Amino acid sequence: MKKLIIAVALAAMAGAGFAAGVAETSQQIKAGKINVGNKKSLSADGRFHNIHGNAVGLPCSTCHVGALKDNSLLARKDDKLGSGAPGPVDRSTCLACHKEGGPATVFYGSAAK
Amino acid sequence: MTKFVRVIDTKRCSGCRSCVAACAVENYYTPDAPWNVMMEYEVGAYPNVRKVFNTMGCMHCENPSCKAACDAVGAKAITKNEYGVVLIDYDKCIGCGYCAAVCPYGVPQLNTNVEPLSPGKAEVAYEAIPAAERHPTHRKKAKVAEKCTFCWHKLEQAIADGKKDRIGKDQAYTPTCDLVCPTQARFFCDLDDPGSTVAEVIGEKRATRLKQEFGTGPQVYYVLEGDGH
Repeated sequence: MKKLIIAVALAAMAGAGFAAGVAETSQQIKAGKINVGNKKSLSADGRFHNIHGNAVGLPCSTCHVGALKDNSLLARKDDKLGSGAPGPVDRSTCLACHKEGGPATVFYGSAAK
Repeated sequence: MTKFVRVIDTKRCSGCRSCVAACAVENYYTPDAPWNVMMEYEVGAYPNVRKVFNTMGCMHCENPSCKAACDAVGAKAITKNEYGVVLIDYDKCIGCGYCAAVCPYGVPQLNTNVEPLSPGKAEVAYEAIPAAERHPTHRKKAKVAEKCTFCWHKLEQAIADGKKDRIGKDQAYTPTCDLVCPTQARFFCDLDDPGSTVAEVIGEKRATRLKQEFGTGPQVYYVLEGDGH
C-alpha cells in the first residue's frame, strides 16, 4: 500500500512537472522565443508537429496509437492511412493539455453536461 | 432562442445508409470529404452479439473545438451562428487541417482533392452545376476543410421564408438525412420549441451526447446501444 501511495504521489508530481513545462513552452512559443516555424499544417515539418514533437518533446506514440477500438466513435477511423503512417490519433490524449485550465491553447471547454 | 438539435436513435438504425446517400446527393459529395459517415461495431459477447450502427456528422457543438483551433491559427474561417450552426467559410480556410485534428469526433475533413465521382467519365448531374449557382456551402474547393452544415441552405431558406416553425417538418426546410430515414431513427428540430419532438425523444429515450468529457457541448444526441466512445 505504501509503495502504491508513493507511486501515485510520484506520478502526480511528474504530471504537475510536465504541465508546468508545457505551460512554459507554450508561453515561449507564443513569445517567439522557441521557433516552431510558420507552416500551419499537419505535415511532419509543420508547426503542429514541431510544437508537439520538437518543442514539447512528445514521442510519436503519445498521440499516434496503433489502432482505435472497434467502438471508437471517430468519423473515418476505418480509413486506410498511407504507407508508413504512424497510426490514428486518439483525441483523448489532447485533453491532458488542451482542456480549459490546461497549460496549452484551450480547445476543449466546459459546456453544460 | 433557437437551438437546432438532432437526435439519432441507434436502437432503431438498421445501418441502411440512406442518410449517408441522401447527404451525398444533397451536399455535392466529393470522395475526400464525406459529411455523413456510418460507423459500425459489435457489442456483447458470443453468442449474444449485436451490431451497432452510428452515423456521424457534425455535432455543431456549443463550444466547438474546431473553431477554437481555427481562431488560434488566425484563420477565423469557422463560425457558430445565432442558430447554433457551425459553418466553415471556404474562402477564409487556409487548409491547415487543425480543425480535423482537434475535433473529438473526427468530423471536419480536409478536401485535398475535389475528385470527380466517376473519373474519366461524364460528370454526374450535380457536379455539372457551376459553383456560382450553388449555395456557398456547396462551392467545393480543394485544400479546404468541409463538414456537415445541418443542411444550412435549407434552414436559411426556412428563416428567410418565415417558416422556422416548419423546420424538421417540411421537406424543403429539413436536413435531408433526417428526411429519408426509413426506420425513423432521426429527428431534427428546434429544442426550444414548445412540444419539440427532439426534446420529447431525448427525455423519453434517455438520449445522450457523445464524449462529454471534452466539454464541447455537442448538439447531436444519441439513443445508444452499447458503449461507443
